[in-house]
Amino acid sequence: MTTFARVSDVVDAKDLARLEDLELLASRVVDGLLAGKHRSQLKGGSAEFTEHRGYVPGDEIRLIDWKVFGKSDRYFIKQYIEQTCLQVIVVLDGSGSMAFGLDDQTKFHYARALAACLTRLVLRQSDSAGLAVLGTTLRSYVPPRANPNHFQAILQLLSEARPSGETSLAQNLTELARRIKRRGLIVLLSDCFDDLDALRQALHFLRARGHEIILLHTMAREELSFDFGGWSRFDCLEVDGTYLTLDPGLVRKDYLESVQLFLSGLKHICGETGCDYHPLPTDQPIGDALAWYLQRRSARLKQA
Amino acid sequence: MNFLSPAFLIGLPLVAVPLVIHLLSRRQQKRISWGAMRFLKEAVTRKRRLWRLTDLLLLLLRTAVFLFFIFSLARPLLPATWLGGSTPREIILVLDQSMSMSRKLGNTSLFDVQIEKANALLDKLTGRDSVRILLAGETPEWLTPDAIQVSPSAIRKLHAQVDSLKPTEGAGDLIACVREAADLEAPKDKSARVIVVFSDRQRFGWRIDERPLWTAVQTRLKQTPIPSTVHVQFLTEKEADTSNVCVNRIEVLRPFAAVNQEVNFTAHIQNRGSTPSAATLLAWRSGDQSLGVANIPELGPGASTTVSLAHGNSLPP
Repeated sequence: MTTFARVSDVVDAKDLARLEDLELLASRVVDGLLAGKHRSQLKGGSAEFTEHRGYVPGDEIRLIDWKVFGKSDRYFIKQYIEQTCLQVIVVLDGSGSMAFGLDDQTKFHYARALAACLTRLVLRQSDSAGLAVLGTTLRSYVPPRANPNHFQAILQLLSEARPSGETSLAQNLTELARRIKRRGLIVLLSDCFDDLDALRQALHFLRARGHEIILLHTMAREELSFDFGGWSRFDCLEVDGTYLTLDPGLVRKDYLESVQLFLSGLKHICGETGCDYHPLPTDQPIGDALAWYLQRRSARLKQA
Repeated sequence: MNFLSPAFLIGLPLVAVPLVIHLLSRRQQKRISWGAMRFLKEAVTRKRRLWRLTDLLLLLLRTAVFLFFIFSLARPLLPATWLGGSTPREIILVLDQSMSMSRKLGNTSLFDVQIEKANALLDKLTGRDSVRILLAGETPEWLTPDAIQVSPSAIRKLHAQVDSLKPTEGAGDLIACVREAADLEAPKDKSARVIVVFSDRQRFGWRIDERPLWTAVQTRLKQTPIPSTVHVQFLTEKEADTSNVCVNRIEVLRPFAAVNQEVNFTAHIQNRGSTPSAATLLAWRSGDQSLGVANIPELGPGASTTVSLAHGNSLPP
């Protein structure tokens, strides 16, 4: 018998409440059928003026700007930006490495709560939201819908998802890109522990298909600081039976160098492919961290 | 290796503490399920070799600290040769001057062999050594009362002194000489004392039956502030498998006698050989003057007898 997932299974109500007044906007034009708050690639008769163009035979007479005609004695047509709804697909990394977390919750739990918050936010602003969980393959996929009731389907999938195994993030993203027909916004929640060259190609592929990408990079505090003491055995979360026994103090410097190299490489790829990169360490409160990011993003887009 | 405070060596098992901690720390390792394995693998691959070396060096260093601490309390005495130099020693040569040393071995006497060996030993001494020579007669007598620092000229002088020595007609008290040498005050600039005793294997000079004397000598040797060793150089390969009739001592009942008063001498004769001795004669002489002849019966190994002489005239001085 199927049990219905509750919001509290996935995310704290306080975190959800923290996002009540916020919105997730697209920075680029998007495809959409319904009216919404995001700029469409179509120019139509909406309220937001964009430019004038010269009248050509066949244009509707009612679109002529008579004030301009009065000043210049020439016919011009007013053009407006069509506004449409946004299609957001949240992509959750379900690889084994996302199961890591010592003091705080695991990276997967953190990313899962983020996914719940974001889809809820998107549905509240009448946009369509979908969810993809990546495992060894594209494990689960809930297509985007604008119906508020769709949140339950997303919640159900989130509550049932478990991190395990080794994942090729790049390969799965490419496969997902082929499935999505309309251009929209893809929010990737992952630690991105994958080959960076392959990831670059996958992100290029998504961008080439017209998608906007936000990468919310989740890493645990221990992965960033590696402040362990004493001899320890590190069991690999992705490959069973793989482990390393070592004194963390002796490899800390080299480990941190490798992590920094990886982070700078990832940021460089995001800059190169035009992705919006935002690090989210798991020791930050979800509501505050996400709210701060969304506010900053809205302000940046409105300025632009 | 000797130690001044060997009691502190009881702490030597502490040296194993770093090793035990090292092994225990590896055994009591934490288990962490880890996600960012690729970075850890990269770091370990780069460092693994250096890391094992560092680990080993650290273990050795910790062990050395414990060892150094214990040794600093126990205060070891290192031979100077370990540090690249020779030990400054005081050499005491004990030369046997007893009459038995006159015994011939082929063309040369045992005494000549002794002189030859003593000279050879003197030639081997280094400039850091000093030397004394003690003569073993009825009583110990120093040929060189003061220690002589070894130098080519000093050795030449000693050779001349040694070459001029002759055996006496009395016994040689070798154990008394060893005691005399051990009783000497230790020189401050020397770190070892070596007493070299030449012997022709005659038991009499060693007084083997006098156990308290040997114990006293042994104790004295142990108590010297610098390590003292006794080397005995035998001049013959093994004790002669023959009879050996000797005069242990001659006693006089009266220490003083008037002119023309009769004096009684008693000679104690003993066969110190390993085979019975044949009957023989004992000639009493005073200088070149013969005083008489006495018969000595057959004596078994270790057997002794006494022979008396009553002499009416006072002996020449």
